[in-house]
Amino acid sequence: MLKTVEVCTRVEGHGNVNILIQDDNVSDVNFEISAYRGFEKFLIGKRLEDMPKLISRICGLCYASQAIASCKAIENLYDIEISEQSILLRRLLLCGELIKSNCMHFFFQSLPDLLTIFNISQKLNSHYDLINFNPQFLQNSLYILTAALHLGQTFFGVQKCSDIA
Amino acid sequence: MEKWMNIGKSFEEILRPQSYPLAVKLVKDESEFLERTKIIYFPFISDALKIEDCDIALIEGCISNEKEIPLLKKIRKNAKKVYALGSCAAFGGILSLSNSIIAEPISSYIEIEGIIPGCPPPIKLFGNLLIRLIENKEIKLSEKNMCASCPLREGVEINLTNEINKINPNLEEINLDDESKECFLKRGILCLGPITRDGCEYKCIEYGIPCEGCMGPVSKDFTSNIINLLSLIHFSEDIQYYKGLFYRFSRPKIKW
Ligand code: SF4
Ligand code: SF4
Repeated sequence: MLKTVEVCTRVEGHGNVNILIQDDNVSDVNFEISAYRGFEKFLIGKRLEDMPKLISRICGLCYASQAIASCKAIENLYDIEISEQSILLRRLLLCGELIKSNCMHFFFQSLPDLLTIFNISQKLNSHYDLINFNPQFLQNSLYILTAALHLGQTFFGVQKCSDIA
Repeated sequence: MEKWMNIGKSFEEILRPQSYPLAVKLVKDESEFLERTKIIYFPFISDALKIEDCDIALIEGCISNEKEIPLLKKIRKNAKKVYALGSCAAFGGILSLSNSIIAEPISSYIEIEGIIPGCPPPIKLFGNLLIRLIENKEIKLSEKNMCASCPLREGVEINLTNEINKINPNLEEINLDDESKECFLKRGILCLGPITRDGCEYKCIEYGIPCEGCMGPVSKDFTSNIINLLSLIHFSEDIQYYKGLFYRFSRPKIKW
């Protein structure tokens, strides 16, 4: 028997989970992301200088990793060595992204569940209810997000950093 | 929890400045905001999968899969106002570059009340429009193009003999000095400012790179805008045949 969980929530985009059950036991589990975006196809023939700009739009959450990965691919291609300074700048940018996405994941996606599981609060259904739970706490978590945002703004330009507002 | 809050405090001291991000502001006026809004469907952060009646629906992302159309129609039926958020939902977005898959703006399938463009939507624009929406006011976007208020605009009269031979400035040419700034088109670098909607506060231009049009077209008649621009400038041979310069964030035809 094949069971499918149609829309996985709390992931960017859509995913399905297929669970194959045989004789009351789970025999196989597949996670599939059905959306085909076609970046590998339409990037063919584009200029190298356009790559980071286009690639960082694969998704709106991990733009920094994508941009840096594309730069690294180009550097590999031509055996380019980049300066210490560039490496440090990239690391800072990645830190910003790391803080931001961990913070978003922890505070807005997992925390409501954790609070319910550990019986700290009863009625949380989404991060939205965190406002009721403790406004000061939510506000502080947003400050951490802001710090990450500022890191991104400082080292990547303003453009790609408005996704947390 | 005490400790976390302390971390938050010191951040507050560092970041107290000019602008709070929108979310913080909304939490600050928390009681009013809470009274007015309730998120009923947002799979990214909650498990609610039922689409109930609501006042405002903000839809993100283009339609690239037929399975999504029934969901879209359902949202339209249940929501009093539907807005397209971001350039993908409004114009088709980056996937417009692709020939192999469909990337349709949501307005191809349902009627929408308006759009909030940008890739990503500029923080201030989005915040202001959202606040207007919550206050039940109409939202209005600028009807002008970027050049109308661009800081590099001064002294621009488009010189017909100018040849556009680059799509990005060289690293050495990126100069954030005020005095040496000059319109990109004049320097022979393609800038899509003339056909792009104002509203992003020239983010890219202030960082020394030309506009690539992420705010989408100023008018629905995008193609004729492009033709107008093309009649004013000359491309050098090697970028004449480069694909995906103009329709990078938008499909040629948009209804809304
Ligand atoms: S073409 Fe670009 S740089 Fe020149 S005035 Fe318009 S927006 Fe500014
Ligand atoms: S300058 Fe152009 S590409 Fe840059 S954010 Fe504004 S509209 Fe988008």
